[in-house]
Amino acid sequence: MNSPIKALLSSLLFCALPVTSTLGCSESPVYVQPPEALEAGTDAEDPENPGVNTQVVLPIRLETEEEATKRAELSAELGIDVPYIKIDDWELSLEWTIRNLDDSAAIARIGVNGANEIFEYVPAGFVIDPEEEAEPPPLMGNIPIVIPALGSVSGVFREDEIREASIDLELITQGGLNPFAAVLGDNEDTAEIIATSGTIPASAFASLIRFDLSLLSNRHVVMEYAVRVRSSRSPGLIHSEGLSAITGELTVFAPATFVPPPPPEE
Amino acid sequence: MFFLQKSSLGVGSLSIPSFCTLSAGIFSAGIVLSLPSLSIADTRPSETGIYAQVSMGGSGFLGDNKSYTNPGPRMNLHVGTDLFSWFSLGGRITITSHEATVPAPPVGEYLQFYQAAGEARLGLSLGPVAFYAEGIVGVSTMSTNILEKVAILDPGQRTSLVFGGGGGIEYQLQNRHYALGVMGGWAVYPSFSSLQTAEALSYLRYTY
Repeated sequence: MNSPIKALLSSLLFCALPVTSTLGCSESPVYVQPPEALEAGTDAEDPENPGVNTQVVLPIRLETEEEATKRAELSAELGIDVPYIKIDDWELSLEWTIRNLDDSAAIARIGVNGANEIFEYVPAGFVIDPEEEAEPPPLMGNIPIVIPALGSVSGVFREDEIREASIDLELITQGGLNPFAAVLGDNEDTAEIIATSGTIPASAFASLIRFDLSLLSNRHVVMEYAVRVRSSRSPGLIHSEGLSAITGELTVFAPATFVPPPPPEE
Repeated sequence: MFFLQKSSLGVGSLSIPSFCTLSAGIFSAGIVLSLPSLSIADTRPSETGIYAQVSMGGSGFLGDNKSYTNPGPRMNLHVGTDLFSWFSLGGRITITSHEATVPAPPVGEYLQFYQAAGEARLGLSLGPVAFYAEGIVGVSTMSTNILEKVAILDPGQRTSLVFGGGGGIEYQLQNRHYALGVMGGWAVYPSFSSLQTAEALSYLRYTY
């Protein structure tokens, strides 16, 4: 090969390597941004002040045949139903900004519950006698946030927090763990869950695929939020058109509300 | 003039005025003879042919969209060939990174542009300094969909054609293969709501 052509080819290789390695990264974040903000505290004088709630269902693309085959093989190997979306398939974070529209400081609380593709977590479902029992905490949040008058505060539920929330939900629903113990304990390093259906290894833990947000405030506030997704699968798990994707191109899950077993009779 | 003087000289009859005339003639001849060598010393011969260039600098959004990102670092890698001393064809790949400043949330997030484009350059050399103007056409893609929030991107849109132009000033080093330069440019992305960007970079060029 003559030297000018060789020089050109080596230049192209030199130029192409960093670009291809960068473009090859499949974990570039995708943002799922619901179009509507959450508004609370409009009737803060109401002593009940129940707050407002919303759901964010992540727009997940359909499972490919290859993925379904691999999942079926893994299910047969482990002897359990392996979920489509597992905790190692992506990293999720939930970013939020609360604006206080009032001219005095506000105290707000964000509660985050949710569902994986099998079960949804509803804390109120664990309360048999509301006058005697406290409702279990949400999977994340419920911490007072002070927002200055006419100011704003931003924050994030980090990737590791959401990963642990997914594990907590698995511990509560598959492992039968008390929700107080699951949510308040540190379960990030849980290696497996002994379920009635079999032993579920950490690699088969289901991930949250839906967020149930609640916002409570003593002043008129507006919360905007976005879910940041870094998918480790290729192609990425979020549909390329996000929440604008047509229904037939999205995976529809129907998680059941988890009902805890009745307490043992004395 | 010297040769006319010389032709009038007679050997062995050198008078003082004639000597002065001769000395002036020799001096003149010395200047004339030395001109070519002076000319060689002043020029900076540069190679023409296949070249590679690495450019580093910054870029930012222009117009109504400039508030949605902060200016960020940019790197171009160019490869091309000089078809003539005044015209080159080549290609470039570009990476830029910007902090997104869209309305929160999200906060403090970054996005990258990746671009591959062809470029054509018209050049003019004036001694060691050269000027060029260029046009580019190519394809660009964004690393995230964060700019959907401000409607620069449509849902599912990540790729756009890119058209642009620019120019630069180049200084040829003593080594005929190397040149240093500064360049600036402008680009428009029709599919990104006609987003416009500006860039300013310094570069090192190597011609094989």
